[in-house]
Amino acid sequence: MKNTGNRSDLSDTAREQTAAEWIVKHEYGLTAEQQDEFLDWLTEDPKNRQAYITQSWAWGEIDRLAGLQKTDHAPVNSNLFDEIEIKPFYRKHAITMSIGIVAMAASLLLFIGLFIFENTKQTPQTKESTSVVFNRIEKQQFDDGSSAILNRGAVVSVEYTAEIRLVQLLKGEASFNIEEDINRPFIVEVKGVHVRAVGTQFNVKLSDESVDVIVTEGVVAVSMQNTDNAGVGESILEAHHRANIEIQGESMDVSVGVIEEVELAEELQWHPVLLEFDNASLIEIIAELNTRNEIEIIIADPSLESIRISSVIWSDNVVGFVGLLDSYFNIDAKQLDPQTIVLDNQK
Amino acid sequence: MNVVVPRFSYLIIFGLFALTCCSNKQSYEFDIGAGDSGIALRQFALQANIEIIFNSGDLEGISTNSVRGKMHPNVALDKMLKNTGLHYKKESQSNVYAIVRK
Repeated sequence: MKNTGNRSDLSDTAREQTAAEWIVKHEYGLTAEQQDEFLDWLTEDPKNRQAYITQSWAWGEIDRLAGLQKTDHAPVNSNLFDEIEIKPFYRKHAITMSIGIVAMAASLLLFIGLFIFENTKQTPQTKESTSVVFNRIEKQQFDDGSSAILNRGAVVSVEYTAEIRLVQLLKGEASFNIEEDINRPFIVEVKGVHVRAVGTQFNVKLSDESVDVIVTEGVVAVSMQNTDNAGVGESILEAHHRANIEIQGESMDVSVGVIEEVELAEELQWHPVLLEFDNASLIEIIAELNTRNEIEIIIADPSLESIRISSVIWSDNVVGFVGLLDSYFNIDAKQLDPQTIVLDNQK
Repeated sequence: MNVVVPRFSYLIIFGLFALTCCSNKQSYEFDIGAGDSGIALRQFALQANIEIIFNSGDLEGISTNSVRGKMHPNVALDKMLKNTGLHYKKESQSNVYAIVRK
């Protein structure tokens, strides 16, 4: 299936400027009239939506760099703002936010202080890793009860309105569990491909040139959006079916097939599960973790393989587990490369 | 641009953050009988949906105490391990409980 679209007359710069203005308006809240105007603009051209997503994401990144999110604490670098083309928004916003940032920073210091105080009796710390493959897998709950599991490195942007529940998968892979709402379709948009669901479970994986959709429960519709923002060449996917969508410019080729239970389990093995080990050997536990993660833990000293461990641990908590081996089992854990950890006897 | 900030407002914000931090003491319903420490500790982890690790050999032949009712995991573990020769350490970064001999 192929679909091609025409280029819009609106220049990219003007489009980005308009998108930035809409973000500002959203910050202050939209009137009913503005809401209609915004939706008209959004549906006028798929590139408008993309520009809006990109600008929203850029703002999210600035928030992160400013240390406003809980997991990253990068210092504010005003030069970073200059590299982005929507300067007026950031300058305006920076003024109104400056007091808030000071309060947040002081609160964070207080938080960190209390956290350290609460943990003064604790001993060894696990080793930090900069590689994304060692991150924990994120679970995200949406307002309507739907949820998503984001594989390591996945990036999504969420936009809920009265008419639509839209999640853009900007990078990586995610599984969705959707609460049914006949008045508000749930759509995952990825590189111009729409995956529409009503009360279902499915997985979407974005690679360089393709999108892979696997349906685990219910039914989803996969289509490409043309310049009129209409779904073209819709393919219906039932449970235990997968669609591989090759994206070529503004067209796509879809191949649909059945996915067997074993293959389905393998594809979704990255989902975190609570693993229980009763007096298991270290080599058994490592084998299980290696299967469920994009990492490889190697046991350098064979004498370690037979160490008996009992544990209840989340399958994505590789760093936590390895850190405990280092702290309590006299096992030295070293990161060999971005995806490999070597376990050896502590000298 | 004039911004009117109510006096002590930042103290209130700080207080709320501190309260959020210190009130992160979620309780769980436990129902674990006295007996084999390995089995009981894994039950503890599953009932509180938390992570735990221990060297199976270290706990061999040791029984833990029963614990029943709704409480914080730290309190439940204190009760289970009382007078057993075992104690726990909670890793701050990984949030995993390690059970070790004293």
